[in-house]
Amino acid sequence: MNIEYIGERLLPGQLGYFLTILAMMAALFSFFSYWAATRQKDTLDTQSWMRLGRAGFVVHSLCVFGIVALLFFLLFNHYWEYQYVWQHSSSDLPWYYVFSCFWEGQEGSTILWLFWHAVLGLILMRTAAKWESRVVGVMAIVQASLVTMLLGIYFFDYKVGASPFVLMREHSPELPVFLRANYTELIENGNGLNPLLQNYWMVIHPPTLFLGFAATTIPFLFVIAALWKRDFTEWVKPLLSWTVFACVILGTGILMGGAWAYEALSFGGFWAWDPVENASFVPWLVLIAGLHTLLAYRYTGHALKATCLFLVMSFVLIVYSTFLTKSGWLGDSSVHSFTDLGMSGQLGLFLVGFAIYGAYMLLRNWRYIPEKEKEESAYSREFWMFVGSLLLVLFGLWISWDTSLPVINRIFGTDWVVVDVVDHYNRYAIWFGILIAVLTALVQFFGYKNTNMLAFRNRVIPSIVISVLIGAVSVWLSGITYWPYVIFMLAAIFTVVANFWYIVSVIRGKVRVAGASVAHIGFGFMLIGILLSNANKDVISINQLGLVFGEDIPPQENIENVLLNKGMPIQMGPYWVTYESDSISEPNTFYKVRYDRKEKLSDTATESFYLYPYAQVNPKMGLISNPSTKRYLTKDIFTHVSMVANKETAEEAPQTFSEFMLAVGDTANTTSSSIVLRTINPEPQNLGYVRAEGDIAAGAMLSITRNGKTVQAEPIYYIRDNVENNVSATLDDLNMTIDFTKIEPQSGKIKLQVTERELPMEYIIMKAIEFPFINMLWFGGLLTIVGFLLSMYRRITEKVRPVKQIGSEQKQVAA
Amino acid sequence: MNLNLCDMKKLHILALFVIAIAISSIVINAGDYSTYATFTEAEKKQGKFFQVNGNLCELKEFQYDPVEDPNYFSFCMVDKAGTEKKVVYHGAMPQDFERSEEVVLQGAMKGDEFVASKILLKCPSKYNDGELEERSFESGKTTV
Repeated sequence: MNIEYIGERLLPGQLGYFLTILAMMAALFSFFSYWAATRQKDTLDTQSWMRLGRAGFVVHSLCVFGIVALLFFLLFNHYWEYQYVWQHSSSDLPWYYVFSCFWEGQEGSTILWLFWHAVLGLILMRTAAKWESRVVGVMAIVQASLVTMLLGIYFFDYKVGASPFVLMREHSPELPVFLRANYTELIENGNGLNPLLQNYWMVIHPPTLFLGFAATTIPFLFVIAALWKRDFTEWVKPLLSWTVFACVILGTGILMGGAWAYEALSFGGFWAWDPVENASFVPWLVLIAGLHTLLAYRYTGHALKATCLFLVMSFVLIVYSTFLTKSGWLGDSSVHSFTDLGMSGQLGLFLVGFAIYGAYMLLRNWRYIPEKEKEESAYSREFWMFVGSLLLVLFGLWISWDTSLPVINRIFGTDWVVVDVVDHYNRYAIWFGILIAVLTALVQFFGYKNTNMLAFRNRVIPSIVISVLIGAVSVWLSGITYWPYVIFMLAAIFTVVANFWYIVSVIRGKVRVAGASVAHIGFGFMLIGILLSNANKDVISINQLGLVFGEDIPPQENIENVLLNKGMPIQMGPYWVTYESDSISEPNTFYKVRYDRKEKLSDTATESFYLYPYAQVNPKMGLISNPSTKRYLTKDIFTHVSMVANKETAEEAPQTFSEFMLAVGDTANTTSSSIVLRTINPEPQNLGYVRAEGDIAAGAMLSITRNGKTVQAEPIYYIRDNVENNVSATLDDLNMTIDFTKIEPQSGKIKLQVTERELPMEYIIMKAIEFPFINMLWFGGLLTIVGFLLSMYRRITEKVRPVKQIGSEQKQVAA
Repeated sequence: MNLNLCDMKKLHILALFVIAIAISSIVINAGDYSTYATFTEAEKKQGKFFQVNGNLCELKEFQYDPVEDPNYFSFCMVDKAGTEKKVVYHGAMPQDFERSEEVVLQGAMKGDEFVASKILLKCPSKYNDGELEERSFESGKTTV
């Protein structure tokens, strides 16, 4: 059956498919040309192949930009006939959420990744100098692989990729609406954006994170290029700059994700060790390890092999994280992994492919990686930096192992699972945190190659003394007693103090070289913030009504929800909390919750504020609750509605009936209101009643007053074909229905039947949590970013010293 | 400063150190790893944490009276082996509970009841095109 569809706008989609295929071809062409360029002996030949490689990559990039533009065009103009547009957006969203819609789906996030790769690839093309052919060439291969995820083409029954340009009728041809040629007129609106993503963080977090992913590819490319060329000269400077760049962007992206989770999700925290979070955290840890070993290499010539390994690993782990989030293999263990688009085979192939390629390049060229004969001294900075990096990698691998249990189960048929996820991760994270914090504090006082131990002691001892003093006071003030936390706190404070001391005593405030120390101080503050906000987290909504639950008393931390009846204050911690009212601002319902700081209910509040947690009673997802937070410098009060009274049950509420005989001007008093019959309307008309020939009709014009508020109503009575009928007046606000059922001609009185329903009880069930010093975490995060940016500036602008000690030891390799 | 740690290569010391950390930590945390279980297995080891997968009972009966206790919610679940058990969850009733199809529980048996500390619900979702939407609820925390 062939239907000639009308009203479809097919051109953008066809252009999209064309650009996708062209993007892939151009990337392959670019790779081939760059590869050919590396094989030429003659400079002129090399040059001409390079030009072809560049042209290919530029065409590829233009195609990617075109795909981005097309998808935005489709989303902005609500072309519902496109599946992606229909599924991820709707016309009632504010314009800026079109960005969130863009990357809500897998296809969009892949495009985002491709986009950043293309941008960075173009920058590399201009800046990578002698590495260009290899770096951009391999980037082209990565791009070609990623583009296949957008193809949406069948090869012998196997679908390769999923295109964002697929039409709805191609996606779900079984729907009956597609039997109609003009179906486009029938689709009025899209499916809409997941309400959890309707948050400004979701506009900026994904692009930052994906820029981080894309940036992590670059260190990998440089390592591969050097292994390929067996040449490590003029290599450290660009690699170091790019590695710092990748660290800061990926780190910022992860931190933004935490901020979003804290603000928009209701679990009350910024980190839940969810597989999706871990999947981007682990590559970052390994990348940080690689950065530190690279610095060791830069100054001493040691640890190059480890650097190459770590940087290759971090890229493979990024691909692995894509596999985890997009293959659907995480199954039960993650709440926000994407669903399976049937690409797990393809994704698995990339993962295995890049892992094998990386391993092959490393193994094949391992012995050509320059290494110093002499071991590093145990009193050298490079040695301890290496130890710290190893710890980071170990930590990352362990997280990765736990995250991968569903994958391991799937492969080996086991059924292992981690119960009590958050506690499990925290249990070992705390010890890694302590060790890494102590190393972060101490290692800078070691010199590269060797250390003057007297100077070392003179600098370290004061910082230890100061840290112990500050630490003791902070531990005492915070009331932390669990001893691993105490050690953690001391270690974190030691990091801050020692790095501060380093800035003062060693580099004497020279901002240019202070990047690392500033980042480390930020890291220390983050650790303090994480500890205080979690360890001293106080659920103030604990049920304080003194109810006895009998034998089955749940652990105290479980009784976290409190029922608030409208208008009834309840004590929570230092506050009396009242649910005052709610207001609807489509599609959200805002609950106005008043906090009064006072001892007793009768006292005058020393401080009052309102919080407006809101919930979206979403037809597709049920109650989506958004917390609201009162922020102070030293603490946050987090309020979240876990349940609301269901207003639909009002229909089933008990009813009372009453009947009244009224003459014009009479008043009837019901249990809650007074009803005045103002006059009789001989020619009534409303939505429920249309006058017909021969009708005898009357409308009772009523004024109904309750609590000083008066509303009007007009129930109608009529006789048609000798049968009595009536159209009742329903007053939703008053929960009242009035029927006009009879006219007594003798007395001139009319009969009204009034039905009143009891007002449904209005309540919310909410949870309130106090997070002390959570701002320390955000402050620390910002400081870390600033530190990274400082060192990035330094690495980009520094003059490369002729690294003689490396060059002289380098084995002779052919260019 | 001539205190060489020992003549062994530092890399070897490091390797030992790494292995020591790895082994000791795995031993310490071995208790956190568990396997999927059925109610019958969990009942034999009272109080031990398990993950149980299953479905809501046919009638989807549940008990929740927020006015009396907003932190007590119980329902009937049937595990993959077909055993029915009452599940108790100390927290607010997960919204959309009735719509869910598959349930994943984490918790332990206590007498004849399974006390869940975490519930993961899979509901049919329109955002994901007929796929099951997953939402998880923890007593103490609610992750969405």
